[in-house]
Amino acid sequence: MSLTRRDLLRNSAAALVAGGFVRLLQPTAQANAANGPRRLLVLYGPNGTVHAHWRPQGNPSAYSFAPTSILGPLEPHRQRLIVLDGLNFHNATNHEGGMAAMLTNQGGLGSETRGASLDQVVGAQIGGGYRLRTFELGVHTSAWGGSNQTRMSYAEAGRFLAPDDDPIRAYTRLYGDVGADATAAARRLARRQSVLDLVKAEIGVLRTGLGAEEQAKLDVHLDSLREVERTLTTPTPCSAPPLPVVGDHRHNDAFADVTRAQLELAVAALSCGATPVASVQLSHTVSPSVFSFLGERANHHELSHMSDGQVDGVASFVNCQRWISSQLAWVLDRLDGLPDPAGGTLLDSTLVLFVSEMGDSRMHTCDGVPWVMTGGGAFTEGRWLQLGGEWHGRVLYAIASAMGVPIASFGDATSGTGRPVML
Amino acid sequence: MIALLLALVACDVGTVGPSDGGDDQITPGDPPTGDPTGPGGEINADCPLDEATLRAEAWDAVFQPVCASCHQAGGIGATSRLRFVPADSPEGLKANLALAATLAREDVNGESLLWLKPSGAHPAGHGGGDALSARPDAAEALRWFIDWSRGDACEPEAATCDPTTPTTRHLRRLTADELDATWADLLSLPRGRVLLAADPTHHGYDDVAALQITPLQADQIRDAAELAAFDAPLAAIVDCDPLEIGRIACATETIEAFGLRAFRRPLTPSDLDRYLAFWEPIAREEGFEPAIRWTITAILQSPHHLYRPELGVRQPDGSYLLTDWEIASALSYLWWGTMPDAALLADADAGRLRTPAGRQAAVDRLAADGRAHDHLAATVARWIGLGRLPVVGRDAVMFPGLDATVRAAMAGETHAFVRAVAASGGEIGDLLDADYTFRDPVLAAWLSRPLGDAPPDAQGFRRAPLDPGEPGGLLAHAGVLTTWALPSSSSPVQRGLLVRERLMCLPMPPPPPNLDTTPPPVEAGVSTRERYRQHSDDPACSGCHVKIDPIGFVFEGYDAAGRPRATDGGHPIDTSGAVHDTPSSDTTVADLLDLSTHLAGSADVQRCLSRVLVRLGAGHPDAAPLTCAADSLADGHTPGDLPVTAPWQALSLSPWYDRRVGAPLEADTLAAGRRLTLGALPEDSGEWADDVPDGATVTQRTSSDWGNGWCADFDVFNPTDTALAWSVRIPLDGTPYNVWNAAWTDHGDGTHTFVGVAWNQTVQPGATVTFGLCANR
Repeated sequence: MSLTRRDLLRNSAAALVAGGFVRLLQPTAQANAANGPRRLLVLYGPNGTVHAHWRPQGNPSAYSFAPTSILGPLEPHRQRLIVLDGLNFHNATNHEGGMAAMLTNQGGLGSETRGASLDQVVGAQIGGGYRLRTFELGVHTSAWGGSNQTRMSYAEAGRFLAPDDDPIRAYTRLYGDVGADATAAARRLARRQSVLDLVKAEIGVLRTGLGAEEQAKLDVHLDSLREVERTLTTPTPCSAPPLPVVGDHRHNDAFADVTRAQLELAVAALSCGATPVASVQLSHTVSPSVFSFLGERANHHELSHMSDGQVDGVASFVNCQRWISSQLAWVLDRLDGLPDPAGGTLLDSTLVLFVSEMGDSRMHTCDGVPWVMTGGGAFTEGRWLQLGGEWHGRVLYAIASAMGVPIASFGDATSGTGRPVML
Repeated sequence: MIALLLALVACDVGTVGPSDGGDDQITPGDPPTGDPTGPGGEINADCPLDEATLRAEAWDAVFQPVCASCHQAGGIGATSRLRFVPADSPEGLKANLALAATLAREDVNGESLLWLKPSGAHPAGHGGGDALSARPDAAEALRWFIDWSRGDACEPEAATCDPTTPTTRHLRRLTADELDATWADLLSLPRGRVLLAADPTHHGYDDVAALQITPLQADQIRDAAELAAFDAPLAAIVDCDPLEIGRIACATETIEAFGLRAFRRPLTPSDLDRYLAFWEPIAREEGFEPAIRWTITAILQSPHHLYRPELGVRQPDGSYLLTDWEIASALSYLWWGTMPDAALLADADAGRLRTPAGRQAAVDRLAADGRAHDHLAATVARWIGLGRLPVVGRDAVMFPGLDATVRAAMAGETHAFVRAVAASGGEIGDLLDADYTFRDPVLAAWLSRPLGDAPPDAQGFRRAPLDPGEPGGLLAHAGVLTTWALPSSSSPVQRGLLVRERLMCLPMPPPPPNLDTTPPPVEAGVSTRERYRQHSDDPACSGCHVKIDPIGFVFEGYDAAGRPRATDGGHPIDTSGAVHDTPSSDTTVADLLDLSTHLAGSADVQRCLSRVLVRLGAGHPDAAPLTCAADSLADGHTPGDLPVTAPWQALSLSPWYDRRVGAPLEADTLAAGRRLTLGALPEDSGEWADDVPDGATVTQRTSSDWGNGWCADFDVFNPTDTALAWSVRIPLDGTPYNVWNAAWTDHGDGTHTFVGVAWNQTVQPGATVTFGLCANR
């Protein structure tokens, strides 16, 4: 089966009805594939790794994360994690190539997934009944504008989605007008709906007079308005926590605060059924961010290119990557502490995927990318997999399939067909 | 291109092994040896060309400037199949061209390998990235060489440069900056009301032709529109008294007046009806003013506001002429970055923008306005990458006090300076070798420099003369030096790239894979220059770094916060440097004053800024006629002497500006009929005004209406002088249950398309065809 962009949207529209119904019965358990993960959380950290400081110690049947290693902060969660060791991107190299291939496996418009990224493919499949089909959050991703350097979410080949870098805006998008009285809120909703109706009708009329090239622009606009409409008419079924406090979210020194605020929002959105798919992107490839809150003084990209002989530089890079691991650990802790109404904890039914766009970034290759994931109920956890150069497209395929997306391959068919045997 | 800033700086591993990935990465082989008879005869026997022609048209035009520095022994492309030998001899040239021709004849996905690789379009990528789009001349030469190699072309045609050739144009979504400026003008509000998530970029600039509205942006616009519409001073919106002239009359007047400014054209009757119909029930419920504010909320989200068409009206010859209103918007956003003012709209209304004299007068007025100088300053800031200045990370211990205020003062220096150059009719060279700058008290304190006695401008900046021998112009501005540096040190690589990539439009490839790009370690006792020099000596790196670092070294006299320094970590500073491998700017220089003076007279810089200004203004990054126009404009002036406003002048007045050709798919899309599209239907009006300025109409004649349903005939009128197939998409009040004389599609959104059937699918010139339907409400 091949999905067109329209199909992706149509699936969701169909799910809108079904999902809405299910939610009445089961507030946070919009089931899709039987026994599969019901939620997906993607966390991105930039600029790859240094394998010697990343790999678990021991052997695959008895291993641990060394306390000072990059994965060290995740040792308490070792039994929940699958370490994907030896995972390669097919036919992608370098910063930009890796960033573009990371969640798409380079599918063009002719591929089954039409070049969409994992989060979008899954969101299109299962996000229909939710306030937000997917929720893209970022930390310092946009100072260089949108490009294959700074974006990881793709609606389709060549069309990427900007994450929201501003936790305050994201909070409003998640919770709507907080504190408005019911009558005023109802009235405002009616007005907003009228505005959307008018604008959609205008676009419909305007587009009929245009060539296909310009129509495509308005089609995207129309789709976007439908998403806005859904946001307006599908309240987040939780009360809003206090507004995050982060200062100027663009400021380098706000990195840690913004990260925490965005992770809080991602967990909140997933836990209260506002979205089934959240992603948090920490900076981007060639990251210029300086982890000054850790006492680092060089930017992340610079540190990622330190050779083994530059012991202090490598230690600084490991320090940064360990902090990113600690953020993942925080997410796992949170999800494990929240009950899933269907039984167990949210972590049991949420697939958490940590991704990066390169392996050893000093070599500018995408071999041995340092990915880890949880099982989400579909994959056996507590394993250190020796994948020996397996294509990452198969991992994307495996996850999408487990979440109910009816495809035979993810992105490039050569490298994205079938799931890795070991996974 | 920022990707390689740091990665390029050094390489301590010289091994470049064959890659395991790409299918065209082949281990190096011996270069082919060509048959020495007949220079080009063995490549294209039907069209043998002499050595001089081949050297000029192929080697010098593309292979030498674009490919050879990497694709040669010791270069980073040496392991690919394209490895050139020295081309000084006829034999060398011949061998190189024979090799290139072999690759030119090889197809991947139906395209020549020799094109796919340097254009960056090969499925497996190209180590040198996209090497062609910045060099259209070279791209054209390569295209010819490929065709010639394949026997599809003979002698190269004289380069065609016709800047009057119309191209396709677009429905242009306002950029984030344009939208923000427009709302500020429209609503008398300060800037910063609407902040959109970052848009796609193209070579580091907004990809203006391709901007869309993503879900996040749609929500941002919605939210901001509500706030802005309700925060705007009432006087900025309403200019009548509903108690005096009546609520409906005042609403009509308000919507018409605001709509004219927001849509940058008069409202059509159906526009007006639509917004009055929107306003009326809210007015009944909440009163006149809230209803007006909600109406403005809607207008701010309308596609007629958020996009500005440059699509025009189709002419009998199949081309399109932009409407007067479209020209007014194009001029206004080009020169001011914001909506047209009342005078420009009046020019459009009177048809003055169509005549050369009228257009010239309007352009003269726009160019003399302070808004044009501000907009040019903002555009130049984009050119030199100052957008990152507020957020570049800088070490707080080494640079205490470098806060948002200081950074804003740095940006202010450049803005005031460029504005002054533009306002005084200055030239491109003046941007680079000025003997003055501007400082406000914050910047003066940061740089420990005098504030000067000149009167301050509105932002507090005063013009300050520089000392004799002190470098001036953009490259010496504190904001430029700060943006192009590293968190804790200067960066010869960053600053070299600033000059090459931004100032001269000569992009560098990213570093190749499998090359260890560890940066030089900071060592006690070694200066920055020495650190970088050691690493750049590696032959695997020097091919590229020789083009970058020797330029960057010239800036070593400035630290990473824009301040002059006498020593670098205790070492004396050597500011000598060189510019290598540029089309016409190679030189050696002693210091930044020397470099700035040299670049102020550089034809490469002049061409680059001309292109940037034309392309950004036209919203058409890669249109060949524009590049050609920009180049010939630049080349028509002594290097450095091109007035900074000349590119926009030329663009505004060019025959390219007010016309376009159809897009490739446009004819197909519209093949079923001309643009007979309608707005919302006022319930009992006889005729529907359409949004399409070609004069075609659809007229409804209702034959019966019983409340729950109705029947009507529709007349489709063709006012043109050609026979047309027709189709009409219209909103209907109800669902048709019977349709005659048309095929019918329900779009499920309240609109329906009707297309002629066998006997009436063509409307003759000046004639009418009729279809009809009955519908249930």
